[in-house]
Amino acid sequence: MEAGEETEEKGIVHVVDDDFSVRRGIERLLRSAGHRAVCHESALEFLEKGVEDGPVCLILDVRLPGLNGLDLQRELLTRGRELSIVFITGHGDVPMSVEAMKAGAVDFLPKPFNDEALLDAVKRGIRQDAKRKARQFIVGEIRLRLERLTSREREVLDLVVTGMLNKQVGAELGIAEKTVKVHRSRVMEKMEVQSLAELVRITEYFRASGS
Amino acid sequence: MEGEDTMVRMLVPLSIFPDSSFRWVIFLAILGFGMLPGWAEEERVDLRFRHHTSRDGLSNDSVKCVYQDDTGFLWIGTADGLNRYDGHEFLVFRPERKPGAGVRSFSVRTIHAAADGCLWVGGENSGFSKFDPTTGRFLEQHRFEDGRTDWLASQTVIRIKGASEGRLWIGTNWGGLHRFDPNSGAMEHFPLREQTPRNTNQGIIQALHVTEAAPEIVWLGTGSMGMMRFDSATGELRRYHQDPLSAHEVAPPRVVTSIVEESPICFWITSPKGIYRFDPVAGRFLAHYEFRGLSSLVIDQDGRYWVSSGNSGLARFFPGSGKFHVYLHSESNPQSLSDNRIRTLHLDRGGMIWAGLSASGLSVFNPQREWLREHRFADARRNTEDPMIVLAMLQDDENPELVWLGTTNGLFQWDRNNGDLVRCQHESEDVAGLSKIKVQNLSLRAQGGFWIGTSSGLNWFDRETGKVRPFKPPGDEVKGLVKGKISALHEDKEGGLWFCKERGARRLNFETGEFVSFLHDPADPESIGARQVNQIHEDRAGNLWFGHRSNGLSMLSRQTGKFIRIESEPYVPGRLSGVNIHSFHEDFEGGILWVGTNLGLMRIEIESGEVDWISIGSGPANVFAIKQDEDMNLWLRTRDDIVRMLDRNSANPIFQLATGSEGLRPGAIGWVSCALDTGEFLFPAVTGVLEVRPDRFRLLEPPPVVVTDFELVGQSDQPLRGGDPGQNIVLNDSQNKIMKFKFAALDFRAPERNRFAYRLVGLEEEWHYEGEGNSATYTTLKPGAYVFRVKAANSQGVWNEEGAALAFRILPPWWATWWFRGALVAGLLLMGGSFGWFRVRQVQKRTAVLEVEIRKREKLNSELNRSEERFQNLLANSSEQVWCLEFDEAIPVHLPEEEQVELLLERTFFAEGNEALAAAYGLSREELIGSRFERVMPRSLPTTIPLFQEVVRNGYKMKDFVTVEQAGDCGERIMINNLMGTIVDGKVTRVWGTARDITRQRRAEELVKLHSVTIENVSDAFLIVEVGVDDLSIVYANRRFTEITGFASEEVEEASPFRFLASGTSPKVMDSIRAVIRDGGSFEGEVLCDGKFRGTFWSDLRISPVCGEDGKVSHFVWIQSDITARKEAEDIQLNHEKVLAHADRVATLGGLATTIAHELNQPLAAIGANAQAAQRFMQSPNTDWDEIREILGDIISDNERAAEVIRRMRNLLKKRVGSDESLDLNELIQGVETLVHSDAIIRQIEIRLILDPSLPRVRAGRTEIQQVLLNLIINGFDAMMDIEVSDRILEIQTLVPEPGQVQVSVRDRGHGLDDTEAVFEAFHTTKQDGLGMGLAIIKTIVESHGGRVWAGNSPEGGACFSFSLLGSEEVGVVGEDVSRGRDEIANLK
Repeated sequence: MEAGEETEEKGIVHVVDDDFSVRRGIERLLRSAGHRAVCHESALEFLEKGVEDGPVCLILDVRLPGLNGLDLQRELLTRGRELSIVFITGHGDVPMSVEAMKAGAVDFLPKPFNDEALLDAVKRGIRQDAKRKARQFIVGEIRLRLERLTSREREVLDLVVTGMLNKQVGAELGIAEKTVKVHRSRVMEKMEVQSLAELVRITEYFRASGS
Repeated sequence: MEGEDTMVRMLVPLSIFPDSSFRWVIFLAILGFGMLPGWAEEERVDLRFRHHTSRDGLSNDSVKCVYQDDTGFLWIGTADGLNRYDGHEFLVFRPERKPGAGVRSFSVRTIHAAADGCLWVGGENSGFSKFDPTTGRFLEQHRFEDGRTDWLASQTVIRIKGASEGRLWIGTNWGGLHRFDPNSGAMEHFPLREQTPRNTNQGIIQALHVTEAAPEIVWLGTGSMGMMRFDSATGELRRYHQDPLSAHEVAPPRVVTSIVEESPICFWITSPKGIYRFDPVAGRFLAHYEFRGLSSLVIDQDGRYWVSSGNSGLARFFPGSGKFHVYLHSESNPQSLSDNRIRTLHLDRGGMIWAGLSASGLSVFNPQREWLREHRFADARRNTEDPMIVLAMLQDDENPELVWLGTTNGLFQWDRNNGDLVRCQHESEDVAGLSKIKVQNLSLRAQGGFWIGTSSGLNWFDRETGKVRPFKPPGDEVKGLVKGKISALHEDKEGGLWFCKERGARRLNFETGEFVSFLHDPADPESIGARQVNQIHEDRAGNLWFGHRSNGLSMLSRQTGKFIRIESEPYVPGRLSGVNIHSFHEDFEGGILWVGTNLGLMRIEIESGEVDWISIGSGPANVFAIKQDEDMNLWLRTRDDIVRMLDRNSANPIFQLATGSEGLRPGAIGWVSCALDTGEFLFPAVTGVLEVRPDRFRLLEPPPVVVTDFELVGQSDQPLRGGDPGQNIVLNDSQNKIMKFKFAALDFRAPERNRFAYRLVGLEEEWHYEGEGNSATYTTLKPGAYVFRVKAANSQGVWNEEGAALAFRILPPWWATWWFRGALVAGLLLMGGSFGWFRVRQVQKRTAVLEVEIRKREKLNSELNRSEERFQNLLANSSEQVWCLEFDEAIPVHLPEEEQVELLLERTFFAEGNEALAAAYGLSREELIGSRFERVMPRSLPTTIPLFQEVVRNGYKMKDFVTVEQAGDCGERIMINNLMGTIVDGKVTRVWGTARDITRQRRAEELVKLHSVTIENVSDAFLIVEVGVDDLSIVYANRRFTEITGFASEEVEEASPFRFLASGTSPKVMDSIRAVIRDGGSFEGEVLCDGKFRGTFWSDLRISPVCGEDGKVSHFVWIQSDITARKEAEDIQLNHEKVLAHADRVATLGGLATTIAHELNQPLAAIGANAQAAQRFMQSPNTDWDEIREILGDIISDNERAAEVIRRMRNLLKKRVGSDESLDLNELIQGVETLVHSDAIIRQIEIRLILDPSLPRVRAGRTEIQQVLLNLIINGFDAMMDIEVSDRILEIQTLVPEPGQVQVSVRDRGHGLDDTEAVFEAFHTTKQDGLGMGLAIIKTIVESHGGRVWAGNSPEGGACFSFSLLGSEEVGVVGEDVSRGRDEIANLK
């Protein structure tokens, strides 16, 4: 492989297909486009080996012996491991693709596929994964900061970001306005923000990420 | 129907003629052409092409020219070699190459026959040569010689044509025209230089033509200067340019490829731009019909125009309209043109047209096939779902273009106009509707519409609704009677409906609702003759004729209302020979009923009931259908042919194999036929329907016959190798070993059906009828003169009685020559002379000796006494009874008979008698001698007096007379006697006699006689075969044997019984028969036998040994019974089963379609990904070529894999082709597993294979066993769809239950079976959408392989289906095959 950063940017692509020659063909195609590819023969093998931290995309055959592609997608979701998945299939039908797309698949490609379509889907998947990774990083950071708050400070934070004035917060919580002010400045400090607007933004971001 | 490869081009002549008078001439000419019958109709004829390529022995597939010589041989010039074709083989000739000249192909462009029988052959880069066909040698070779101006100006000779005085016109490539005198060797050169000084072009001559009227004029077609005319008398060369002044004239072509003279005023000129009409008198081009790439044109014997093209196939050209009907190569039709690139066309004398193809050899077709059309329904299967066989046909009474076809797959309406085939709907659309039912027969209905007899009951076609309705009879009680298979159907003139089911016939009267059954009653001779009725016919007098399946026919007389039976007596002339009645036809002239049977054609006089067997001797054996044309000739549809029968009322009618000339065998399908209003006949065929137009049928000329080869087998010097039989052939003694003659009939219509007879005059009197073989072999003939004669019949059975002859002489060996014999005679004479002199001396000596003799005589007297004693002893000990009767007084022989008898009775006593005689009467010898004769033969015995009378009448001298005597308590005894009286002076003094008891012998003889009468009359054919030293010979054959084989008993006797077994009997059966003969065991089985007239037929054969006294087998009893009829029925059954099995496979595969799509998509995806990856790799600056190579390797193997999937699928879809092969079931199972692999994954089923590596191979049909496995596996899958995923396991196990057997079990984990027996019945199904045929088909397949199939429930739950087959002996190779099978599968993954 060439430069490290190149690989970083292109990400790592996992291929799960029980057909050796299809697997190898896809591996070559990915390599020719500069991706690093890791191949797995079955869903279980993929689950056992796990994935790297960097941006990752999974090319997944729907029809697999044992655990099939859709099962694997479901399994990953229940394990809380969100991945960009590009499905490939030898005989795709509509209900199957709908199910896969609903569960968050990047694309659903029938075999035989066009190289552009596959590589494009992989690119999207990696971009998506990279974004997801970045967001997860930020969300984690915010969570760390939030964990530093006391329960009272947390209550204050929740109310402040709704746009209430200190007085209203105090009335709501049954504490003095002055106390609210102290809590609020602590919150600002612990959350490492400069302004109320900034505080609102990161809490919103955190909520939107579903945590 | 055949529209796909059709193109009709409509073109008007491109010219508008300059002056009006000329226009009139052309108009009239076209009008005249329009009147010709061949032109009037522009109907498309279907053509069948036969192909000959290098695989058949043609020297090269690029054919350049075709030529037929005067004898009739066809000569084919190819890109490498000259070929001679005689209908059987291609003989290749090439000139001898000079050493060191290098190998060069010998490309023949033109062939021309000279008057002396030699051929002139011109070719590319090889000048031209003279070729002697009798020796196969190239005599002279004339080539271009550099620097010689009076010689050939080009390497390549394109055309050779005869000029006056035996000279030749030679057209060359770029060298212009030459005239060559073969006698003097002189060459004249006429360059065709164009009128420009710098042009060195001397002319490409592509066509040469000389008319009979003006032999000095040569018409030249050139490659760049168009049409030219050269007058050799004046030297004038004229070129036909376009007249610049006339804008309307047809532009002359620049390239002319051939010139065809139709008449002195009409030439057809071919050019790559199309056809031109040329008037040679006016020197004008009159019309142009465009056809790209046109290469050649021929006008056939009926005046049709056929053109070929270098790239767009063959076309028929209609000058009247300017249309072309094009015939192209079609992938799906093997009888289409094999290639669209045609270089040349040639019309042979038999009217066949030969197309020489640029790269695919020869395709030949018959342009005159208007009399026979094949309507193939194979293409229409898309509309009809399933293949079908026509069982009934009926022309619509309202629209004559419509024909109704009753098939194995329902009722169809067939429009003959456009070939449309429409399935007819049943009123109720339920499953039991018409679509799934065999339509057995159709009959017009007086009230409109028609009756339909099906395999499940009676229906009728309602014209108003256009639908089929079940027939509901008027009374409720007869409802059940119109259900079930209707085997025959007829509405009589009085409006009664006859229909036949099992047990006889029934009639329903519509008016009264009365219903009458006519059932077969074996005890009642006036009941219908048999249970099964095939056909019903109502004659003009209103009598009804019923043709039975197994026992001749019955006639219901209109006058008496009673049945008259005509029972079959096979092979008895003057009796109804046929057993199975296929068809009836009442002669158009009335009074005669023609009956088609399994043993030929019968003629019945309706009035008298007299039967004639027409087919005896040369006639066809199995007559399925009979039709009569307007000329009163009969047309018979037989198993193999459609036969025209002339002189139907004569004792020796003429049979012509009409379809023989088309090389077509319609196949043993269906015995229906249909005569259309317009005179055509329809007959069913394997692929659809054959339509015969009797008025268009044409009889061929007798074929020319030639002896093509006379070979001395195993010897180097050959008297005649493909040469001229006119020469004087003399063979010496050492060459007189094995002689082989080959011969040919030069009729190319269907050469494989030409037939031959030969005879060696000087050796034999009879002709050998050789059939279709074309060689004869003789070994070691006596010295003398012989003539080998051969005659031949063409494919229609028209004989050339004169035939061909080849005379040859065999010289005697040295010891049989005249000079050797002469010397021998001289030697003998010399010896005789010296012997005479010697004799005189001898006589003198003998006189002296005589005296000594007399002395010896006395001695002899005493010897005599001793001899008397010996004689007495002999008498006493003889087992023969010896007696002497004397009389009290001698009896005068002149007395009247009665008196002599009386005296004999009174006076006779035993004077002498031996022990044997006395013992016979229970007396001692002493008692006997002297006793009265009365004692043993009293007067009261009824035989006594007649015996004495007989004795007197014969003058007391009788030999070998038989008497029946009553002796003591031994009962009645039969004696054979001799007696001799001594008569002295007219009186009998004594009577001597002997007697022998033959009672036992006689009894045995009677028994033998009874046995032989029994054997003679049994219905089985019976042979007694004697075991010789190293062969078998027939010592006895009963009458039935000669009947069923048709051989006379003289022909049968002393022949080997194997002589009567046909070569088609399977080698396995033959081996076991031989083993039985060798080991003296018994045999029982089915064999194919040879009949003299009827061809091969099936017999049940039983052989049992008979042991002689020494305990060794001395004879075999060989019993045969004719089972042809049963076999035929089985064949039809088998055919239906095959069709059904195929349909089932198609359905099973249809169900697997998605998984197969997946199996294909996998490799395609891999190929796609790999190829695209490679493309990208190659765009990068430093391409890794190893990687690319690897990728290409993968692409190739994936491609293989995709191909393999398709191959497997196609194998399954194929109908059964070929016979059983040796199979490794383990391997087969693995193959089937790959087919269902994806399906198993989708359905989340695990397949476990438990294969026994020591499994013996089996002999079976691959496809069938695959189908069995596939069906069982899919069934197993289906059974497990509603159980837990983890339990879905299908086990396939192979094992050897006992040595020599193979068992395969398929176990599922489903809910198991309720009834393990019923599952194999047809239409038993537990599935929602199942047909219920799968397991029934499996059972049929397995049992047809001699195996067994059963079902059971396994203890773990689930069903288990198993089948077992017999293993074959080859065990050793299995292991290897399994590993190979695995590798194959590994590759697939």
